[in-house]
Amino acid sequence: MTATLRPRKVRKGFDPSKLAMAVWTALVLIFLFTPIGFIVAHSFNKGNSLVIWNGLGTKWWGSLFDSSVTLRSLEKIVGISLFIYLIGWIIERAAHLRPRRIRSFAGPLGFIVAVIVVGLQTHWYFDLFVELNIAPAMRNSFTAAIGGTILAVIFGGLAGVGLARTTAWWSKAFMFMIILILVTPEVMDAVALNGWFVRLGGPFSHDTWRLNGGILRLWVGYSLYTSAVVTLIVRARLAGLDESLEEAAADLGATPTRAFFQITMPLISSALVAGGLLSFTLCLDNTIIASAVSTAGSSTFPVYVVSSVKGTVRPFVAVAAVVLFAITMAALGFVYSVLKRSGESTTQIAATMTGT
Amino acid sequence: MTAPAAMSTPPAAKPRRRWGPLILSGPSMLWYAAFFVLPILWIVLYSFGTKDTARLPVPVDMNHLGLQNYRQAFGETFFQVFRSTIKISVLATALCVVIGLPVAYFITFKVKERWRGILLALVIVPSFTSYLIRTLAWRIPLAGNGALSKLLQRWDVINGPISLLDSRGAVQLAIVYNYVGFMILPLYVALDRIEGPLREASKDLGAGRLRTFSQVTFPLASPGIVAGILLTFIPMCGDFVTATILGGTKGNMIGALVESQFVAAQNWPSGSAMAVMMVGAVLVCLIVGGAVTKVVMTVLRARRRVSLGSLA
Repeated sequence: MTATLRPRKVRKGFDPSKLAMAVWTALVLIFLFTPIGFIVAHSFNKGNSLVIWNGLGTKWWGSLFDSSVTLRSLEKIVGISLFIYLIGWIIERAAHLRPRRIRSFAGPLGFIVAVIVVGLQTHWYFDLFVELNIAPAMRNSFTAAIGGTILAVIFGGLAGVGLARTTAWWSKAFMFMIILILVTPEVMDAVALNGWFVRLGGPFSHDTWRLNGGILRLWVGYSLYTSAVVTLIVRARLAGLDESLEEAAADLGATPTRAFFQITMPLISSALVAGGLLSFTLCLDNTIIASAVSTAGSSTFPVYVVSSVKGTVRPFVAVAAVVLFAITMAALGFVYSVLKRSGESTTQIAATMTGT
Repeated sequence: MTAPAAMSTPPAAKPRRRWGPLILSGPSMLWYAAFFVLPILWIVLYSFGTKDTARLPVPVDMNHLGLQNYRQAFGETFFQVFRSTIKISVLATALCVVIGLPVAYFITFKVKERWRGILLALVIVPSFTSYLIRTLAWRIPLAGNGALSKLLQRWDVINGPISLLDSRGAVQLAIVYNYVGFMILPLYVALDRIEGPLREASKDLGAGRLRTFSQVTFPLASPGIVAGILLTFIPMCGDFVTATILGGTKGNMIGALVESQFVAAQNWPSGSAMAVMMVGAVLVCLIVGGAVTKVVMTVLRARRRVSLGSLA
């Protein structure tokens, strides 16, 4: 008990082993950032090949912001996000809630709403990446990632609550299943799903209404791994809280459904947001399942990059990659702040990120 | 009237607690059964069939079941790729432990609380950003007239530009790079869960730093090492993106082979057999690794056992 409260001792004075480890850590961090540095640098490459440096220029960034629609849409996104954040803040003040109770979710929520609203209004992302025909691939990436994340949050959220609230015999088998999904080499999963979708046919091979069959395949394929991740995060979050709150709700006459939505949901909302954002970044980046499962009409940005490696990779890929980096980092930042505000320590966050 | 109503509440709550979790987990179970268990069972079945492109949409003849695909796989280039994949993955996992352990140790025990979060973020951010793009990025410094080649020429290690691309070395480097973050994080978690007083007690009892590390810290951190190995070794074995982007024809890995059997060659039975063998090999590696570790630990523990009886 006291061990967690006592600050860890850090040796004072000169310590050669500490110095050596500091230097080693610095070198490893430089190693980790080296390729990212190269990608950012080469997005300012004037030439026509990503790899061969041909002088400094903003030619490829210029093509990103060419259309005025793009800039206006970005303004709108920022505006709507800020507006929703502000509303959250006002509600918080007016209702005398605990500080940051709403605001911590208003930011990411506002951003997501803004992206969806603006995305429905215009094809801003389309104009953004119209260069080199990346646009369809980018759109597919986002459509697939959003669908996969929604499925993951629904399935993972429900299963996480279920697993945290039982010790029945089947829960061990189910946990084993989830671990199995997490540790199966992804390529096995990918080829198995590919064969399965071909065998099933139906909506997975033909367009149903406006839903592309390939996109449906991607949703299902992405949802497996990511829902397992969300399940573990939600389960870990609820395991720390005892059942008495839900029991109290039941004693006060709440139906199980009402108790679930009014007690359990708020308790796990931070875990759902964190898990959702984490699975969004995982989906956006997924290459193995996407390249095995996607069809001609649903190939994503990573699939495009893999296929373009055989020829000359244009520096515009680096520009797109930097934009994706920014989105991923924003999502990770949200994950961190949401988990931090729900009272988790740095270690718990690191544990959550790796599923341990 | 109120008394019976209150009496009836607990029995009404009971079934909720028994069926609630199962109902909540039900959708996921069905989902995993339909899109994880069944597809993989079919892969196992396909691996005993024969290729028949006349059949559509599934080009597999299931009338002549046999072990021919496994027999075939053992003889050809597949086995070579198989061995090199395992070699690359085992070496990369070992390198990840060697590179990652000092970093995790430093972050856990040698820096102040405030710096710990920043350093962890610096590990997490590159590890969770697109690994495809990061792999592709290695093509820039590794190219024939890239930064690394120029650096080596300036230091007179080599004369004339060399291309490090499309080699096994490039694949090895990028694999270590891609997974070292996923080794550092679980190691940090495990080290951070070790309670400070245990290490202090070791010091107070006269153990040197090395001894405290090898006999207290390291054994207590072993769950983290196991988690790290699981998180890195398994995905490495199935990785084909790194090999496709940096390996050319030389650094072929088994994941790429499995993928090409399905997509390019349309030979599902052969691809299935390879996939099954890949998962089998991963399991064998993990079991052998686990058994060796257990034996070594048992032997070491037996040799180091302190008999308190002799002291009394």
